[in-house]
Amino acid sequence: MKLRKRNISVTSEAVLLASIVWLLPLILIFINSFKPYNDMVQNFLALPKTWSLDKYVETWVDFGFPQLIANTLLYTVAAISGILLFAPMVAYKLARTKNTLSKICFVLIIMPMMVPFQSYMISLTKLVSDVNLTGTRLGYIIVSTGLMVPLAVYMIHGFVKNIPLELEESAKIDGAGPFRMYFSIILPMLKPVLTTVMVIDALSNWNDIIVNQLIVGGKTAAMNLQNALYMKFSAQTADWEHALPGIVMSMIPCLIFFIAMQKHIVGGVTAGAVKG
Amino acid sequence: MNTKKIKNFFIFAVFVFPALALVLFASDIPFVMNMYYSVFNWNGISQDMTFVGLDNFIKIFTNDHFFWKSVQFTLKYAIFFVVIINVAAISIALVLSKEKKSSSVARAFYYVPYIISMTAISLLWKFILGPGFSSLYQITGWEFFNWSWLGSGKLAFIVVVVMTTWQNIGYYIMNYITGIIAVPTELLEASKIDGANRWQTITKIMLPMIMPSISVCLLTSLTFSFKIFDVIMVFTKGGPANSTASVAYNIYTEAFLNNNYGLATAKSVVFVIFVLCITAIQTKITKGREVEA
Amino acid sequence: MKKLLLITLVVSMMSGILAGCGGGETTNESGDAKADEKIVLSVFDAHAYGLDEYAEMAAKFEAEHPGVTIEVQHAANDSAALLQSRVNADDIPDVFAVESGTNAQKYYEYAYNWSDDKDVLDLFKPEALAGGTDTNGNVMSLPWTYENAGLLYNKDLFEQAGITELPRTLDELEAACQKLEKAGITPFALAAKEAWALGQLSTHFMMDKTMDAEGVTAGLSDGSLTFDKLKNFHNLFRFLDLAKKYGPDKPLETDWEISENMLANNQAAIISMGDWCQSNLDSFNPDANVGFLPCPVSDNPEDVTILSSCNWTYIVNKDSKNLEMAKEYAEYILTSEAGQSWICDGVGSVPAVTTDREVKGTLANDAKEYVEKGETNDWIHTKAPAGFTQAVGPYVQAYMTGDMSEDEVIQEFQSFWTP
Repeated sequence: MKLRKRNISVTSEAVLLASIVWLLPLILIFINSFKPYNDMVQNFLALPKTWSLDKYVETWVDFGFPQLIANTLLYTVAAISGILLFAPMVAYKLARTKNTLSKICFVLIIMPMMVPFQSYMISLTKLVSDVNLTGTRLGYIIVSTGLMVPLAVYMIHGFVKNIPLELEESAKIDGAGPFRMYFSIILPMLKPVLTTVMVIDALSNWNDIIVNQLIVGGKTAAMNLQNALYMKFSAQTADWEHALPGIVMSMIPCLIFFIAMQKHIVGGVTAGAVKG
Repeated sequence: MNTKKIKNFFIFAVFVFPALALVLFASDIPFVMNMYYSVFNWNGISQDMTFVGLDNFIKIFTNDHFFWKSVQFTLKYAIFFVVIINVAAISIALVLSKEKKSSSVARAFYYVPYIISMTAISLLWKFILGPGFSSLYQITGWEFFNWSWLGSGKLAFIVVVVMTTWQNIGYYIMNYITGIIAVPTELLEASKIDGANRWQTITKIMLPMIMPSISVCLLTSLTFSFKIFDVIMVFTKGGPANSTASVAYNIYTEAFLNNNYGLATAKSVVFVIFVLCITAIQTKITKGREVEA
Repeated sequence: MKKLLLITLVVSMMSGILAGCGGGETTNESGDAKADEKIVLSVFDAHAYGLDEYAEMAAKFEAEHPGVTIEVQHAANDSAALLQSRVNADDIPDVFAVESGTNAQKYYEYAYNWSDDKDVLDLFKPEALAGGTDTNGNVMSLPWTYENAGLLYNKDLFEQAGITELPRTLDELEAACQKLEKAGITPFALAAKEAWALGQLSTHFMMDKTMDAEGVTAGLSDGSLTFDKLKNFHNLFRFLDLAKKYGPDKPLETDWEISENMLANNQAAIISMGDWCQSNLDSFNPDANVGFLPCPVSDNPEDVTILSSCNWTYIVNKDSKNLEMAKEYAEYILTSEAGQSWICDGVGSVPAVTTDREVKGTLANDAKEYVEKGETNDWIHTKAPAGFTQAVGPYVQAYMTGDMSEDEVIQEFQSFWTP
């Protein structure tokens, strides 16, 4: 017994230690955001000689960070709202309905998970332009939400199986209609997976570059954060002095958001487990 | 009776159609458009396209060894990535699913790379593998640090696997923790009372109970590895000497650098059919083993 | 609690949709520009340097033309893919930049024909206009600057090693390397990680001065020339051997950033790049003393090459809703005082327009002398079939790692060009 206990604690220490290694890159990016270009290339691992915030301020002002953050925030909130509203509905309904139509819908929704985005990029932009949504914020929101639905639905679909049918039966007997049942009973039970989906989609939307570039085109007013930063790079130049502070600043909301969400994932699951 | 059917269908529609419409618009319809373009010879820019029937498809199967090289790379990568990341994630998740304070902090740390954009990550790894490893070699003298990590095909492959595992493992750990915590503790207690040791508990009870999570993670990691593009595009650029070009990268260069959009879309069609077959097989296997609550 | 969550979700979605409907729509006028009507010109540019000066220049234009807004998409990375997507989405920019040669030709069907605007064409150097002329002799795009590609060398390091005359043959090059090595300096730092850099390097060895780029590309395409029989192509491999022998341990791990950084910090003496890296060199080390080293390609000192071309050209969309204004903007950025300021000071290159203005970039000035003496040649890789450098670069890399032999690489070059 004692030996087994010790083995377990050794492994958990190793895992905890490894997690700090995972953190190292973040630290490296942070310290390099304070270095001048040449210094960064010559002495990547060293601490910066000065910790001046000049470049941070410059980036904030020159790039129009407030506008970019507002845009990106809008996009992320809109996309998550869309996903949280529509994806569980679909996943739940398709999981509970077992006919051919349901199967077809499921395949149609999951299929994009198999296809590399790059392969239908041009076709998508053509489609977006055909409905006059090129360069618009709405167009971007619709496309970026649509691209995240497959994975979200897939994850939720698997989770729905864990909800016992008896719950729904008894709710039906109590006279609950389909919508009421969905919102009051099913949705709360999906909280853990929904939190996971929310975190993943929020982060991937926040960090998105390529979709924003494609849909928004030249409309600087509708650009998101990462796209604007990416413009500073090319095959021959890289403005790291502004890009790195920009990247660090763009990561801060993500980190805050993620840490805040941590509690909900674990808390939600344990509550569900005790009940079930 | 009929009104009930209509009512049911209406409810079904309300639940299903919004999300379905979004997906149709963002992915399905563009892909069908792809199938249309694949029978033309088009450079992606000009207004004229010439109809060539199945020529593009024939070319893929007879005269495109780079495509097949990239398929080989992608498959090899998929096997390594799927196995490594899932095994590692389950192991780490088992440790971190306890309620300790340190666990939740560690969990967050593993997720950090996911938050960093690919441009920053490629910068990081460039310097770690270059100057970083050189300094480490000078300090420790281990040959390991002196190998040409980005200069040889085999080593570059390992770099790609390690980089993507490092970046994405947080997602899988989170998924597995969700699954592990949902396993009723009574079951685990009962098995311990029955005299099972830790290994038996894990393999005979825990793993089957988290099969839904495994199923999701397997499919996600499989489809992710098939689509791998960002790392190649930003970091290795398919090098050295085209050894790390993935299928998505091959399709991208065909479309935008060789300006051969017809051929590129044809390749994407071929590839998707291939992926569908594999994922169908994989889903059948894991679904068969799931245990419902 | 759940009701609250639901309400929040719905409200966010609504606000998202409203914001989407409200913002980001273009207000394009049909017909020509009038000063008091609102016009938005969408411009597509493919560079990530000189951005500050560009912004100044665009702001000046807007100030001089009230009611006109310039919307620029600086797509330095993936510019080809993005431009293609925009063209397909019927969102063709009013003014856009493409690389001349095979790339630009693809867009000529959308391009405005400048052949009748003699007053504009007269501002440019005649040779510069050649790059934007199609097969019928129509000028479809206007040239931007002269870009020069070749070997760059660190003058201070050469001096340190006691090299007084620039090597002009491969033997002299090897001797120079030995001198550098003796002085404890790393002679080469080729950016071998970049396929495109190696592809460009190989074009020096494809060059035949009697035919220039036009002749060589035409000859290869119609079969009258083959790679195997090109005068100096086999010497490419001798050069690569030198670069490997006298270069860093892991040649394929050096990318453009590290390559330029080493040159600027006096850590390497020779790289293969071009004058577009001026801004990088300046930010790495403003005191670096760098110049062009005409590339030795054989035993004949007359064969040394620097490749110079008006690579980037600007096309005006012939179907633009604001054609006159778009034309005016294109002329403005290329020929006006403000435009020249952007080109000469911001970007630091020699403009295609005839001018006496001083150019800030030391490399550009260095190359200018060779250009004026007529000792340079045109770029080959932009006239090659699409995707040239990307396709052949990996083969050169394979040669450097030893995975492919010289003959195999030559074979692959040939099969790329004439499949």
